[in-house]
Amino acid sequence: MEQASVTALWVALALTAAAVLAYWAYAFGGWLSLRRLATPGQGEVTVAIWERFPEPLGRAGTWATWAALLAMLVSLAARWQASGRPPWANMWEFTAAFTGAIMLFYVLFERWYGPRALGAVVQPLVLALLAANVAFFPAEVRPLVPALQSKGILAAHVGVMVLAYAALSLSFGAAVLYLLQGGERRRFPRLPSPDLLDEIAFRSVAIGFPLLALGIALGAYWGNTAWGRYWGWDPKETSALVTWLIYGVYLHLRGLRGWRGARSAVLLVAAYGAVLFTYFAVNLVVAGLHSYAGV
Amino acid sequence: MAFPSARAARLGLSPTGPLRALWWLLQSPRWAAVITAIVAAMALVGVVLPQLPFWARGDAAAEAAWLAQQRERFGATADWLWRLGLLDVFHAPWFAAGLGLLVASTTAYVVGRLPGVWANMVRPRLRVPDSYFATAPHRFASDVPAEVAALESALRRSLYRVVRFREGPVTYLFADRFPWAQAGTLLGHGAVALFVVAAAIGSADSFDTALLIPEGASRPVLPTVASPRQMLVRVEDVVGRFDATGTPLEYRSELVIYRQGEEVRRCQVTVNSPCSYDGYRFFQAGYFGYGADVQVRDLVTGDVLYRETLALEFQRTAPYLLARDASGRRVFEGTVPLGEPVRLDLGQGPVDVSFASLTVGGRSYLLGLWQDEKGRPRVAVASGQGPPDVVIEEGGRAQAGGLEWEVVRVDRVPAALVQGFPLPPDRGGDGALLQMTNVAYGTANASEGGRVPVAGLPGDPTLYILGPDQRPLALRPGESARVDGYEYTFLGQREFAGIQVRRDRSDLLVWVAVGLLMAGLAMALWLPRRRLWARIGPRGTALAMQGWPEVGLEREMQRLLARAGAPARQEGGKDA
Ligand code: HEM
Repeated sequence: MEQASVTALWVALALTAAAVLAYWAYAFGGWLSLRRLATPGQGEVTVAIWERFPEPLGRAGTWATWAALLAMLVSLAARWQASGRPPWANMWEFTAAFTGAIMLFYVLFERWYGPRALGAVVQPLVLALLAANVAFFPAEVRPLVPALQSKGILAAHVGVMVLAYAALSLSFGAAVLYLLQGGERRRFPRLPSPDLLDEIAFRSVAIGFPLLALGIALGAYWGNTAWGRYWGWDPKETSALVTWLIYGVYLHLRGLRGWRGARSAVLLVAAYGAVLFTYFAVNLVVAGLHSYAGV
Repeated sequence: MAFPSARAARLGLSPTGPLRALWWLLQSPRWAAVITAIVAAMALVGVVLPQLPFWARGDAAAEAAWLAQQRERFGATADWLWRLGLLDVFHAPWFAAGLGLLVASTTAYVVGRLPGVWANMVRPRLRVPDSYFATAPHRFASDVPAEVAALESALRRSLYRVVRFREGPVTYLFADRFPWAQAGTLLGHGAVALFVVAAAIGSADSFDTALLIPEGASRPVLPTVASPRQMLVRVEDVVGRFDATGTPLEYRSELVIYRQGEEVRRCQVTVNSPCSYDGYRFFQAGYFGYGADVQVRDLVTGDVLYRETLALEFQRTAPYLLARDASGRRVFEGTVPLGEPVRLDLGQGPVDVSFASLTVGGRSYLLGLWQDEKGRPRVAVASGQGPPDVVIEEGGRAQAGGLEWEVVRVDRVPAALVQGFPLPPDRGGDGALLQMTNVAYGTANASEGGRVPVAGLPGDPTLYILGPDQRPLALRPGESARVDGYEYTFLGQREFAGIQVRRDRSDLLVWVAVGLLMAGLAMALWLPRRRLWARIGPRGTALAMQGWPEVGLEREMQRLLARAGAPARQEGGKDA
């Protein structure tokens, strides 16, 4: 089962790579051919097949993403089966769960809001995370040290954090697209309108922000039962709090004149930097109680 | 986002001038972003820079030692980082000030908005001036009069509450949805303030102490020994289990708590499940496996002079030797604990050599162990008074004094230097070196050993006491040795539990605040609250909408108009 979880993760990685290609061709292909048409001095203009049939490409991206999500769910289920505990107890498992959750939110958002182009940012992110996972983090199931052997609350804490970060990943995707789009300039015809991107970004923060609050609170509750303090300014928990506060700043600013659009998008990209910092850097660089969760 | 009338709702004791300006500033979302960002930035410093660890707080020596470490890392910068409080951010006055401002602002926001929110909930403004339909940030119009009944039912289906009134040929509608969700905003912000206040009270009032208690011993909890609230914690049993790689699998301790001589609580604690009594919680916070229970008795008076469980916290190297006689028969096998090192010059500069004497087959040998210039252990064996017969490397063998000696390996054994250990009156020195061999770290038979040092042969641990006699005393559990009228007894290997005792009376308030925060966030962010005004006249329909979150308002109005048979002509707002 342990091997099955690793194999399924590789399958998900391959499918994600396929999705990335499809989404890129879909989102930026037409733009490339337009650029070529507009370039003077080109006698014969060849328009590649993927530039002429964007819709099937977009659909292919969606299908590949669904398939990758399925493979990820298989990987996580096999992992759960193999270790007998929820599959997010070390970096490998946590990253696997994280990528699965990002894709889950992504397919839901794609269904709700329609635009496929968000996959052109979100799926590369998933691909990078999966690649980092197979490259850096050991995949074996290992027993947990006593401090991490709390099933209910601890598993809930980590699970909710995974979901929160995954939801916030979509706001990052939407913000990046917003900036690529150049706001109202609408550089890419196939990308969604800036307003829709702004709305998607907000909606994903509206999901991720309360989840992050819940995840931090569950962590505090667990800390209280495990160590007798709900808050200890441990680097990991403090970093999660800082991340939450930054999204709080975003929620206050986005409604203000002057902060709509591009500025909010920049803030969201920076806030996602805080997510990744909390997620990776604190475990790998800054020592603390949480770093014994290990890599 | 609030309507002017809501904004105008002031407190009864409306302050004036600069005070009033401050009052409005504290409530503004721009200021909220600023102060939240400031607190976040301060906390980030505490993540990135090393922070004074809790165990060094309040202990001047430990604090100085820690600071010296930081100086090695940051050079002279460490000192001004320290002076600015950047190495102890979460106890710095400026951090407290930042949190204080956050609390003041959220409180001002809640108090300032309460009347307006209340008014919006119970007495919403049903009618807006007609001009508002032409100026509202979110508005929609159609040249066709909408079917009022269809519009109304479309609104109701979207969970709006609708009020209708007529003025001549014109019909006005007011509709709102989740008006009370605005209270969620206040609830959430109030909870942020409550949380910080509760946590501050909690940390000011909390009690926290760490006790290292061996099996079979008890310790008082409170610093005032004679306090009527005093409790005694007794540790009956400690269990630590490890896998073959030394990774801990389980820690648990059996505790008994006494107050005023009475047993009041008996429980088992593990890392994630503490035991509570009278508001105090007892946590399994640490485990230490190498303890030796030792007793010394005066044989003349019969009194017990000394009885302690000593923690063998340090490690000493000790060679594991095998000696064979000429016929190849094993005449000795075991770990040989060594004495205190002596600095000697063996020809290549000074080295620290530790000695032991060993009697095999009635003959005395002197052993010495040191590390060569490359850090490899060397064992010398001398069979006479003079220089050593041979020097053997780890894994090597050689002849000395008629035996073949093999240095199987060099172990590390747990050890402690114990000051004030009772020695026979005519022995010099004021301490003893204790070493224990043949021990596994972790509860016997439960641990798989492995990486944790297991010294010696299978069987009972052996305690070596160097000091009372010329030769080390080697004692198995329950064995005694008599030296000059003193009796030394090794009662057995014991484990220690690190028990953390805490009390924090703010817990409940903190969880209440968290609950309110979650409820507030869910209400504010997941229930899109809307207020809609419609003017339907013979020449067309006009809609104006307010709401939070401010997304998708135009789309919603367009959908409503379509349902009411009035094709939309967008006027205000942005997207369609
Ligand atoms: C420091 C004092 C604060 C003030 C004066 C304040 C004020 C406000 C205001 C005026 C809004 C409405 C914004 C809009 O209309 O778009 C708002 C929204 C919000 N604030 Fe604050 N805020 C403060 C602190 C915080 C903090 C520390 C948090 C948590 C990080 C927070 C979380 C939120 C959230 C989640 C929203 C949007 C949802 C809602 O309306 O409740 N606020 N705040």
